[in-house]
Amino acid sequence: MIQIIFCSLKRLLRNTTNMFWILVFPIVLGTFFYIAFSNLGASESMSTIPVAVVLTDDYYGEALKQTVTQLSEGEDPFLDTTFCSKEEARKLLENGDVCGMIQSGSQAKLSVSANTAADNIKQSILAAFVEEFNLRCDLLIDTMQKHPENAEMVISAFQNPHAFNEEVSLQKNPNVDTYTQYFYNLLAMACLYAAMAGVIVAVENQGNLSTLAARKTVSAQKKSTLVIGELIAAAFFEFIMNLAGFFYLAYILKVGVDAQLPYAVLSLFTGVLTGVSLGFFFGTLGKKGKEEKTGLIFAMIMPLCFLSGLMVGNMRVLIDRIAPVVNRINPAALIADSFYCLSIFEGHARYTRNIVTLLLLSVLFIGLGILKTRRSRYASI
Amino acid sequence: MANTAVKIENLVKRYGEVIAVDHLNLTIREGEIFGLLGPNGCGKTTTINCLLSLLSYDKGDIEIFGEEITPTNYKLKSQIGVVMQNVAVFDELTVSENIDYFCGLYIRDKALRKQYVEEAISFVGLEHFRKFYPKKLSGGLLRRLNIACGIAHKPKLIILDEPTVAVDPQSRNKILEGIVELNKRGATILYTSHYMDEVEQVCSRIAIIDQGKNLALGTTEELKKLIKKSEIITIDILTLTEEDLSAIRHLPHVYEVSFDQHKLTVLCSGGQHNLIHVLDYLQQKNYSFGYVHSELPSLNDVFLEITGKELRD
Repeated sequence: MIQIIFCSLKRLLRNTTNMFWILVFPIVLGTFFYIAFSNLGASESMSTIPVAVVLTDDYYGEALKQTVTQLSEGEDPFLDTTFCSKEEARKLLENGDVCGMIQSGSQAKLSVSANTAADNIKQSILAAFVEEFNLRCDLLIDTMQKHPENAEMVISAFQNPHAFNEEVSLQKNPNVDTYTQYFYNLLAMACLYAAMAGVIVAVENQGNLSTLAARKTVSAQKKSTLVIGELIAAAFFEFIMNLAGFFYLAYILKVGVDAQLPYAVLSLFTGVLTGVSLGFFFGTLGKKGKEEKTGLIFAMIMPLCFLSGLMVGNMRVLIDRIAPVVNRINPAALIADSFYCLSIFEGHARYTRNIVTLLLLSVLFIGLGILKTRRSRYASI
Repeated sequence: MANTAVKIENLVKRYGEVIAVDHLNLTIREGEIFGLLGPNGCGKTTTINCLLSLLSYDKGDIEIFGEEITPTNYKLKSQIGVVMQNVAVFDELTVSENIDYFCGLYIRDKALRKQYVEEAISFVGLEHFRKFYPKKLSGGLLRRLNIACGIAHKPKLIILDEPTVAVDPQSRNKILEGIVELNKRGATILYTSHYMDEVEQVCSRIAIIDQGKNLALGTTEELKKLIKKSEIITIDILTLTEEDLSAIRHLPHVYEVSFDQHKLTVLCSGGQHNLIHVLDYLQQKNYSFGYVHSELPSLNDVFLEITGKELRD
């Protein structure tokens, strides 16, 4: 067994194609993700929005003045406000000096210029602001008319946004962001790519699929010993390769995938084991050769990764709503979710469920694969 | 009488409607080099795969050293060495690592295995290539490695399935010498080939098979005696009359005469001095002749006469 493991490790280490897919590909893809998401982050950081405000001499004008003045103060103000007349404001808007013109009234109005297309996002934010302002004004007036005794409480609530929603953070790692999930899915894909090694183990142990396998089959070594030895080597090798990729993401790119490190490493190992066993089981099906089966397993892994959210970030959430059972058995979703759980939850219940499911899938795949490969004789070669 | 190494009785293997092996019977004695001769697709490799318990078969019994061979009879399998028709080695392992791997499937003792690997390397003459990867080896050297992987564990029965296909003459001779040497060391050899000269050179007994059937069995001499033709005489001559051809046809042991494009061909069955008889006749008639050639029958002639087709068809 030790000799089989040792020789298999040597072979895996010297197989440059395998090395590329397992190590280089996820690192390259991870780097691309990193670059792409860094730019997205940069584009999202919002600068102060220049706005012209035209006030009316009434309660509404005073309310708007107080609000925008408050939002124009501080080190990183939300608004850069210019109080002026309607004509001046219109001129500023036409010159592109401001993104919008807000006029006070029973319903505050926002005017924007069609010529300043580049400020679409800022215009949308201003629109949302005006809408929210009007909503709050309506609410306050309504309260004062119907329950004046509660007016003070409403004003206080406006000043303290936390009064409405109390945030109960389940996060252990407050730095986790939406994009980190893409890296969880990337790690899941890298783990499942270990299936290629599993396919090779299967093909090289079925006497009807290759001459090498025939030579091994007629030897004095038990088939199960050969298969288990080679699977151990494949899983170990792929785990080390994936660990290198994981550390690259965690400590070079610092994308925050290393929450609860020992558990994260366990997720990685379980993921790799599932990948190898999935590939092994798949490799035992049919009489196709190594190349065809490797191509087919890649084609199968991609949809699994798609469903877990590698291409569309909230896919896993969507699947959870439509067909939750898919997420319970999709290895890519289980691997990605186990990383996600470590970043989000204090407890390990969901994480444990994911890991146990992955281990059960591995045992099932290996068991079925061994049953398929240990057949006594082949009908044709 | 030597013990029986391999006994195949009434073996039948079908692939759908096609009968690959058709009620084949063979007995290979311990210590002999047994040749399985036949054209491509005649059922040699199928027979071997059944023998190795790799292929299921429809009918028949196979025994090796008196035991039934089954996929899980590992004790019996440990006494068998196989050299497959196609080279089966790992591209990622060096020459010595490959031999060590395959030897390790039979020999667990590390020190003994190391010794066996070294012996196998020197046996096939790959001493200078032990650190080479298979892709760096020539076709002949690769075949030698293939053989070393199959015989390193010193099996009692060695099955070589066309080991010299696409091999240069030097490597081919080396391989054939090696087979004889392995036999001298006590191994029983089952050798399949469609190269009749090789089989004739190394095998003590030969079975000629075609379409899965055993057509003839015996030593080279015994097989040659099975056919009518014992000598082919070819003489270059300018002209001959019908009378001359008739006279030659009536010479002792001559059974067929033809004359085409100034070439006289005389087929003889048995007898001695057939060439002298033909030349005497031509001299008596004062015919001048050029190139004279006398050829004894080959296994191809045996095959041709038994099956009606060339062995290399």
